[in-house]
Amino acid sequence: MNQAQIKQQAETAKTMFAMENISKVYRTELIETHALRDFTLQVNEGEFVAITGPSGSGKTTFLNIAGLLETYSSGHYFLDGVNTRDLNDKQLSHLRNTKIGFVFQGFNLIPDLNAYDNIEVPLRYRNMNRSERKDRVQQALARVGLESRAKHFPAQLSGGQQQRIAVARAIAGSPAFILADEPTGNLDSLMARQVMELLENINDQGTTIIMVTHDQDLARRTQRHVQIIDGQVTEMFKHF
Amino acid sequence: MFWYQYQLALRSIRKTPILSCVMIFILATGVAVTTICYTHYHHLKKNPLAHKDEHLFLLQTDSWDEKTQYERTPNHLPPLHSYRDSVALLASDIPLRKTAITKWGGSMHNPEIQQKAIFVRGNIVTRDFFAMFEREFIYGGAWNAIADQQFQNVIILNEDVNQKLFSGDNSIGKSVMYENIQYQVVGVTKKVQHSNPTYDIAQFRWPQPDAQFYIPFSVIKAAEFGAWTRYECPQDLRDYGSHWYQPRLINSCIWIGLWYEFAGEEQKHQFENFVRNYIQDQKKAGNYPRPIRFALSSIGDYMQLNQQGYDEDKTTIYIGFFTLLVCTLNFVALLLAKFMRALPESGVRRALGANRRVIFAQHLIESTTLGSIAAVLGMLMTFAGLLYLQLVWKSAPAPSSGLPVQDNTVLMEPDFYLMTVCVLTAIAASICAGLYPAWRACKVPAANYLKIQ
Repeated sequence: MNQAQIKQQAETAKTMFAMENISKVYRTELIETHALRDFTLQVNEGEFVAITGPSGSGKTTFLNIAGLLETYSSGHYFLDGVNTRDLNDKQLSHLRNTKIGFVFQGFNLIPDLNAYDNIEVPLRYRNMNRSERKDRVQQALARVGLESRAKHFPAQLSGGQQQRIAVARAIAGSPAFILADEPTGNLDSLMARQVMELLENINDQGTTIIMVTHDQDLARRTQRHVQIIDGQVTEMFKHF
Repeated sequence: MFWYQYQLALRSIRKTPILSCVMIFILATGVAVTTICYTHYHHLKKNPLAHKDEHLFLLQTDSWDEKTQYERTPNHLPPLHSYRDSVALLASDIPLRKTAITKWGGSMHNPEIQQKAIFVRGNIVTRDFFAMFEREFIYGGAWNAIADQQFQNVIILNEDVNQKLFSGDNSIGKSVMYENIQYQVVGVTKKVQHSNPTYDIAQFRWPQPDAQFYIPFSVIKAAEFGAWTRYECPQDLRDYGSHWYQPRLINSCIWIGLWYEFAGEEQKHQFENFVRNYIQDQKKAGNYPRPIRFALSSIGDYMQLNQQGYDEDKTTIYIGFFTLLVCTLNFVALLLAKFMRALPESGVRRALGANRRVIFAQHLIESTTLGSIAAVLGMLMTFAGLLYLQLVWKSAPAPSSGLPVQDNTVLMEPDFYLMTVCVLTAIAASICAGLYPAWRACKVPAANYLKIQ
C-alpha cells in the first residue's frame, strides 16, 4: 500500500477502536494508583498502530482493557461500534472471541495441543462446525507458511514458528483487529523480521493491528506510533 | 462443546497420570467404604414380602399384667401369645389363612442308616404358613389340614437337612427320628435366606437362620418340649407354675407368634371385631387385665414402627459418610492444586473467547470424569470389600451346639441398587468436590497469565 492509499483509507475508514477518556484506578487500603488517565485513542479499520512507552507507563493496563480482559473505572470504550461498558462476561467473551486476535510476547500456545489444535481453540468457542474450522485452520496455516507443521507440538517448533502459529491462531477467526503484545520480544532479529513482515502482510490485507512494542525501529514501520507516559497519550506520530 | 470439554478433561487426566490415579483411588476408597457401610442397613430395610403388606399381618394383643406395660416392642404390645390365647385366636374362620409360629430344636437322624444325629432347629406352624410366607417346595408340599387339628407324625425338612439325611434325594414318604419320635417326611422346602426376619420381625431385626424343619402346631399337645423361643410371663398372681410344660398350655406366658392373611379390608375388620370380643370374654375370666389394645401389623408396618431400632444401626453409615467426607476433601485439595497449576491455560482460553461458564463447565466435567472412573473402581472395591466380609463371617467357627448360626452374609450381598448408589455417590461427590476448584479456575484473571508487558 503506498502512502496516498493509506491516507485515503484513513479518511474514509470507519473507526474500529475508540477509547474515550478511559481511566483505570487500582485501589488498595492505603494507596490509589492511576494506571490510565483520560486515555483517548481512536484506531481506524485497516490501521497498523504501534504503542510504545517506558515501563510503568500504562501499556499493560491499556492492553488488558483493549483486550476486554480487564474493566475500566470511567470513560467509554467502543469496539467495532459496540460500547463495552455494560457488557457481562458472556458478552465480553463473545466480543473478544469474534473481534480480537491476540498475539503474545510469550506466544501462549497450549503446550499439549499441536499447531492445528492450538489454532482451532478460538474457533471451538464459536461453536463452529468441524469442516468450517478445518478450512479456517488450514487457510491460517497457509498464510503463515506452516502447513507442514500442523501436527507439530509447540515444543517441536522454533520460537519464530511458534509465534507464526500464534499469529495464525489470531487470524483464523477473521477478527476485527489484532492486539499484539511485543510480538517479536522473544525472537532473534531474523525471526523478528519474519514475524513483523507477516503482520504487515496481514495488515495489508485489511486487518487492523495494534502492537505494543519497545522497539522503536518496529514502531517506525507502522502507520502510526502512539507513545504513552503516566497513563496518558503524550505523542502521536504518523509514518506516512 | 460438551464433547470438546470431555476431550480436554481426558487430556488433562492423561497429562498427570500419577496425580489422577491418586485422586481416583482416594475417591473410590471413600465411595467403597460408604457403600459397604451402607450395605447392611440397605438389606435390613428390605421387605421381601412387601407385596403382601396389604394382606399379611402379625397379631399383637395386650395380654400383659395390670401393673407394668410391655416394654420390649416399640408399640408396647407383646409380640407373642400364650398357648391358650393362640388356640382360641386360631379358631376363627374369618381369615383367609392363619398360622401360629413357635420354635423347637433337638436331635434328628435317618433311622435307615448308621448316622450320627444332627442338631436341628425348626418351626411349629400350621399348613398355611408355607403359602403365607411363600416357602417353595423342592419335593412334596404342606401336610393336610387335619394334621393341624389332630397331631400326625409328619414333618417338612429344609433342603440342608434333606441333604444331610438323604443326600438331597427325594425323601417324601421316608422317616426321620426326631427327639426319639418317628416322623414321616411330606415335604422338602427350598432354603431361603432373607435379610429381613419376616415372621420373626417383632423379635429380631437381624436375619435369622432358615428353619431346618417344620412340624404341625398340633404337636404341642402331643409332645412335651422345652422353650426354644422367647418365653415371657406377665406377673400373674395365679402363677400356674409357668416354667413347666403342662402349665404352659394353660397359663398366660407368651411363646407363640400369630400371623393372619386376609383377602381384603372387610375380612380384616371382621377379624378385629372377633379379637375385640375375645379379649372382652377373657376379661370376664380374669385375663387381659389391661385396657383393650391389639394391633394387626404388616411386616412393612412393623418395620416403620421399629424405625428407631434401624436408626441405631446407622452408626456404621455415619462412619462411612465421614470417610467419604475426608476422602472428598482430599480430592478437593488435589483437584484444586491441579486446576491452579493449569491456570495459565485457563487464562489463554479466556483470552481466546471462553467465558467463565465454559471454563467452569470444562473443569467440572474433568472432576466428574475423574468421579466416573472412581465410580467404576469404587464398585470393584465395594465388591471386593463385601466379598471379604462375607468370607470373614463364613469362616467364623460354628457353635459347639451344632445349631445353625445367624447368617449375616446375606447383609453383605452386593446388588444393583447398591451399585447404583455407589456410582451416584462417586459422581455426586466428584461434582461437589469440583465446584470450588472449578469456580476458582473460572475466576482466573486471565491477564495475569498472559505475560503482557
